[in-house]
Amino acid sequence: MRTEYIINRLIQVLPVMLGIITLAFVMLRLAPGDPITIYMGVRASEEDLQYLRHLYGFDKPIYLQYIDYLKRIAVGDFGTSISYQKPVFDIILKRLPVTLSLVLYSLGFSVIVAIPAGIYSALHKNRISDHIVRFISLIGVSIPRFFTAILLIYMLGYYLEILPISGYVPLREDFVKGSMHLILPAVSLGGALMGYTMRVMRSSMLEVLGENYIKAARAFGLQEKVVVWRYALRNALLPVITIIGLQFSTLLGGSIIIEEIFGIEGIGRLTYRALLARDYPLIQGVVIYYSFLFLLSVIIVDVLYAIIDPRIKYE
Amino acid sequence: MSEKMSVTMFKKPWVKDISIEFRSNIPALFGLFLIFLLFFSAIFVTIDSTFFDRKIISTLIADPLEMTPDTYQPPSKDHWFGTDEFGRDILARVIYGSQTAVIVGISSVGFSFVFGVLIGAIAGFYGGKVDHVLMRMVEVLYSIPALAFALFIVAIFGANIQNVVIAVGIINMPKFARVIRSEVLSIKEREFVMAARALGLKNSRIIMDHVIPNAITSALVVATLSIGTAILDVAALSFLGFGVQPPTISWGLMLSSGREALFIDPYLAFFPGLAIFLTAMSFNLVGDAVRDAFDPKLKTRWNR
Repeated sequence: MRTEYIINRLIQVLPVMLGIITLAFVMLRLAPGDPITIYMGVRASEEDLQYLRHLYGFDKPIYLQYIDYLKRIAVGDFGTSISYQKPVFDIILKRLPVTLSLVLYSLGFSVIVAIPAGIYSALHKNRISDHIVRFISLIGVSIPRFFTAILLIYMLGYYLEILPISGYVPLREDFVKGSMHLILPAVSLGGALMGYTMRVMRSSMLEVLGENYIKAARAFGLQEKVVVWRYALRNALLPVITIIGLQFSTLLGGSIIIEEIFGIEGIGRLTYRALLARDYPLIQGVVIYYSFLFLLSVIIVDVLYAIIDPRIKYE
Repeated sequence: MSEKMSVTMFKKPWVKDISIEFRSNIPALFGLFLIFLLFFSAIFVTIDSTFFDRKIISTLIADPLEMTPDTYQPPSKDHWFGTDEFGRDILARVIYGSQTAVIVGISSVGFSFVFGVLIGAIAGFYGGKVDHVLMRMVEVLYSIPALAFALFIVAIFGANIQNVVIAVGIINMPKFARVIRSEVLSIKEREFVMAARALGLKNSRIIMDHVIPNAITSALVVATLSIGTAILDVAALSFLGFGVQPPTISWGLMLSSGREALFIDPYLAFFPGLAIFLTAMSFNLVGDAVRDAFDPKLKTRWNR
């Protein structure tokens, strides 16, 4: 039942994916300038340019290029990067663990900080601790990621010399060292998510605590701890999961800037390079990667919803 | 005549709700004060640069474009915020940067507002296939990370102010479309819309004159909240070198050059960063208050 549901959802999101692939293709073709000329520079001979255009299929009519492109994607061939001279799929796959570990660390950081803080703040409404939590969440939401990154680099990395300020160590090679390298990037990346999660957790907890079944549980003489953790939390978590799911794509987008600042060779930095170099196959590959991860996150949110709230039926 | 009536009918509680909300909400008042300061500064810069050729700011503080040999000065009596890599006064530049922030922030939100409201209203009003197609398109926009998509547009079509406005406008548009659509879904069932239909008005006329004016308050709430995000997005683009280009003064660009000299002179990055942060924060504070005043139901509906 559950796998069937997931497969159904996957089929539902396929049109969106196709839309994104088409959008990326159309926009790149609308763009002024020619990627081969940009890549080869002004000194390249006309024959070389012609040859390369032919090699990458840029000399064909646009609709043929589009059909070719779709055909190749359908069999998992994303083309060859112009600037790296390697298959796009391999480049992305090689960098995927880097970006994923960054994104998961910052997701972990924001959730671990924000959920308890949000609950605490809801339970201490209008006390000083509540105001402090709300102030922190306001800062998290308002501060630009790159500013957090710069402040952290200066204070913790340069002034106090506690944490490394650039580079990446694969977690599989050295977990402790790798984690140390990920702390500053993950905190800078996850600040906004932390802020949003805190305020949504707080407000949804407050809302749930006003519900009748909570009053009933209290009237029944259950301990406040049990009421909050066993009865209220489950329902209060649903909007929080929604916001985390929505913010997931912001994390991916933010990874572009954070990876650039911290010198992490992940997909964010790859995106930036691909755009600078006008590497069409690579740009298209990266766009597909983003939308794929986003849609995956949508499905994960749906499944989490169903796990937390058994009333939700799979259709 | 009918327009006038509907405006006066909802204008009163509108103003009252907001003033009540702001009277009891000190952080929001603080945010409002900062926003006034920002607009004042942007207007000052516009007058100063177009009519006085930067004379006023040069006498008051320093010329934001004049290069001096005093590079990388820490804050001092002469330069309250210090100087940058070309010896230019950072305070003067932060003040001048407010103009770019306000222009780009407001116009990109204006872009999202106009197109988002139109798309949402059309999708909600017509329903069926039109709705399906439009909302799938919005979903496509939504499913690429905002910053990646904005970078994509600016990198491909060229880094200049217009493209930055359009790019940031497009990535914030889905929020407007979604909110307006859900409003319109309920509005179109109301009596006055049916009456307008019965009178034989054209659909376009009904949408423009009756549906959109009644759904516009929630779009205004989204707009206030979006200006903060838009300014952050614009700054992020500038920071990556894909935003407005020098010699235009922008906080994102200043921060980006400050990052390169971080260990020589941290103030270079600190003040423009602070300006971006405070601007975004004040729009968030005011946006929250406006939303609470208009529609308490929206409280948990935080998008992006």
